[in-house]
Amino acid sequence: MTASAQPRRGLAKPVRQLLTALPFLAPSIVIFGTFVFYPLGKSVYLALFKSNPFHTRQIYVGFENYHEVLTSGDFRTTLLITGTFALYTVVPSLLIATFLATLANQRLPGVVIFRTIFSSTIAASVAVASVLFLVLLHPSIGVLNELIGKAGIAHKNWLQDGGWAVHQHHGFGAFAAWFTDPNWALISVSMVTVWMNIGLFTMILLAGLQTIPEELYESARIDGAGPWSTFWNITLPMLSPSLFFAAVIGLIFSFQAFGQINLLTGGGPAGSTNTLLYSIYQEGFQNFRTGAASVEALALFVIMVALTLTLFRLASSRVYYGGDQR
Amino acid sequence: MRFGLLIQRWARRLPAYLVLIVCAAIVLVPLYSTIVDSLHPISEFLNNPPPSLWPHHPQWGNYFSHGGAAGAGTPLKRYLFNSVVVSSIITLGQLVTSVLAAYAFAYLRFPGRNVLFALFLATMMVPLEVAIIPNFQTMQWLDPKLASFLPGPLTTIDGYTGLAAPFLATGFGTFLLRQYFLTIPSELRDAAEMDGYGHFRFLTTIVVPLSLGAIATLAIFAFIQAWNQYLWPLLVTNDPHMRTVQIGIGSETQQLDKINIAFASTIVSLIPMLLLVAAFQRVLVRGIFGGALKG
Repeated sequence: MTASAQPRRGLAKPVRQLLTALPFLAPSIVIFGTFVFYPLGKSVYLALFKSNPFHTRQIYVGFENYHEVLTSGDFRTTLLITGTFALYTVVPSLLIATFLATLANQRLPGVVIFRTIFSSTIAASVAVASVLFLVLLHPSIGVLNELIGKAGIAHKNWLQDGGWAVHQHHGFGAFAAWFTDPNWALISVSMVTVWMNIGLFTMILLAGLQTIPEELYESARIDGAGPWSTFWNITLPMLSPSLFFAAVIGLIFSFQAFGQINLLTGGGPAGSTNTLLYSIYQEGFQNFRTGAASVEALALFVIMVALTLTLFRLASSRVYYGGDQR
Repeated sequence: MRFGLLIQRWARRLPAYLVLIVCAAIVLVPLYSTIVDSLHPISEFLNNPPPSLWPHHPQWGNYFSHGGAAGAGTPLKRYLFNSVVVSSIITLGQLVTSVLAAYAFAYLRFPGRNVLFALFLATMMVPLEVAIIPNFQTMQWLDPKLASFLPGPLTTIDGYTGLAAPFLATGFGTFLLRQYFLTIPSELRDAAEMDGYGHFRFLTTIVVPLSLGAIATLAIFAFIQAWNQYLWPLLVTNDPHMRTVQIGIGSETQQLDKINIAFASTIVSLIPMLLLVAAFQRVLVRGIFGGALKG
C-alpha cells in the first residue's frame, strides 16, 4: 500500500476497491452517462410532450405521441422503407463482396493490387461517396444514364422517382410494385451504400478466406470435387462466421444511414427515401416535433437492440465457428 | 518448350485477370468520373449533354488556382483544419478513457464490475443516432454557459467541444483493449506490486508500452470514424468556419455554378483517407476481427 492509500485503511474492503477503480472508470462513465444513458431516459420523457403551434412551450400529453406515431400510416411506410433499404443494401453487398473476395483470393501475380482496389471504398466517407454518386446520378449532369444507355438499358429518373413509396398499391400489388414500380430514389441511395460497404466487406471476407486451411481444399481435390462443389461445401460453410459478421455490420449501417439520404434525396421525393433515422431528423430538427421524433428514436433503439440480440442468438446455433468454440 | 509452357500458363490465367480488371473498373467508375468532372471547365456542366467522360481540356486550376479547391480563397483548408482538430481530440480522448477503463476491467476487483462491463458493452448497441435530440438539447443548454469563459471555437454549438464531446468514450475501444490487457501475464502485476508500483504507475510504465499495437489499432479506427462523421457535425454547426470537411463538401455540391470546384474539393478530401487506409490495411483487418469475432 502506498502512502496515499493510508487514510482509507479504516474503510470496508468493497468501498476501498471502488475508490481505487473510480478514477479509472469515471471519465468513461461521465461521457456514457451524459451522451448515452441520460438521453435514453430523456427521450422517454420528451415523448410525453407536444409543442404548441408556435413552438414556444411544451405541453404534457401523456402517451398521445406514442399512440399517434406508432399507429400512423406514415410510420408504417417509414418502417417499410427502412426494411427495404436494409434488404437493398445488405444482400447485394454480401453477394458482391463474396464474389470480389473469392476473385481476389486467387493465387495470381499482382492480385494484391486488386485486393487494394476492392477494399479501397472503405476510405470514402459518406459525404465523399455521396458526391461520387452524385456525379453518376445527378438529374442534369449525371452520366450513369449515358453509360447504361450504351448497354441498351433504358434511362431511369434516379434520384427523383420514388416509385411504390409514392404511389398507392394494395394487396398483392404492394409486393409486385417492388419490381413493377421500383423506388429508384431508394435504389440510388442503396447503390451508394452498397459501394461503401463493398470495401469493408471484401476486407472481412478476404481475411475469412485466408483462415481456411489449405488441406481442406486439397482433400476436396483428391475426392474429385469441382470448383462449384468446393465453393458450396467448403468455402461457404467455412466463411459463414465472416459472412454473418459482415451481415450484422451491414444491417447496423443500414439503420444508421443518414448522409447519403441527406445529400442525395433529402428523404424525398415525397418521403420515398424517408428511413426511420431520417424521419427522426426531419421531425426533430425541421418540423420541431420533438415528441414525435423521440418516439421514433425509441422505436429505432428497440429495433436495433432486438435485432442484434436475435442475430447473435441465432448465430450461436447456426454459424460454424470451427473447433475451438467458446 | 519452356517458353510454350509459360505462354500456356498465362493463357490459362487470362480469363481470371479479365474478370478482375472488369470488376476493378466497375468499382472505380464513381471515383474516375468524379476526377474527370473535377477537371472540366464549368461550361461543361451548364450545357445540355451530360459532361464528357474524358477531360479534353483538363483545368488544373480547379485544384490549385485562386478559388480552386486547394488554392487560396476557398474554405476547404479551414474545413480540413477543423476535421483534423476534431478527429485528433476524439482519438486522444478515446485512447485516454478506454485505456483507463480497460485497465480497471482487466486488473481491478470491485463490486458491480460485471454489471458495469455489460453496460459498457451495451453502449455499442446504442448508436448515438438514437440520442441526437436530447444530446443536441444538452449542447444548446451548455453553449451559453461555456461561452462565458471559453473562446467561441471551444463551445458546444459551432465549437470543437460540441463536435467531439459525445464521442470521447468508446465501448468498442474499452472492450478491444481489455481483451488485449488480459493477455499480459499477471506475474508482471505481482512483480510490479512487490516493487511498490501503484496501479497508475504500472499502467503507464508497463501495460501501455506492452500494448502499443492494440492502442494504435484503436487510434486508427477512432480517427477514421471521427473524420467520416456526418450527422452530428451537421447538427451542431451552422457557421461555415466551424464546419468539418464532410459537411463542407456536402454543402458545396448543393449549388451547380461551382460544382467542378466542389468535385475537386471532394477528391482532395479523399486523398488523406486513401493513404491512411492503404498504409494501415492490416491493422484495420486485425482491429475489426479483434473487436468483434474473438472473445
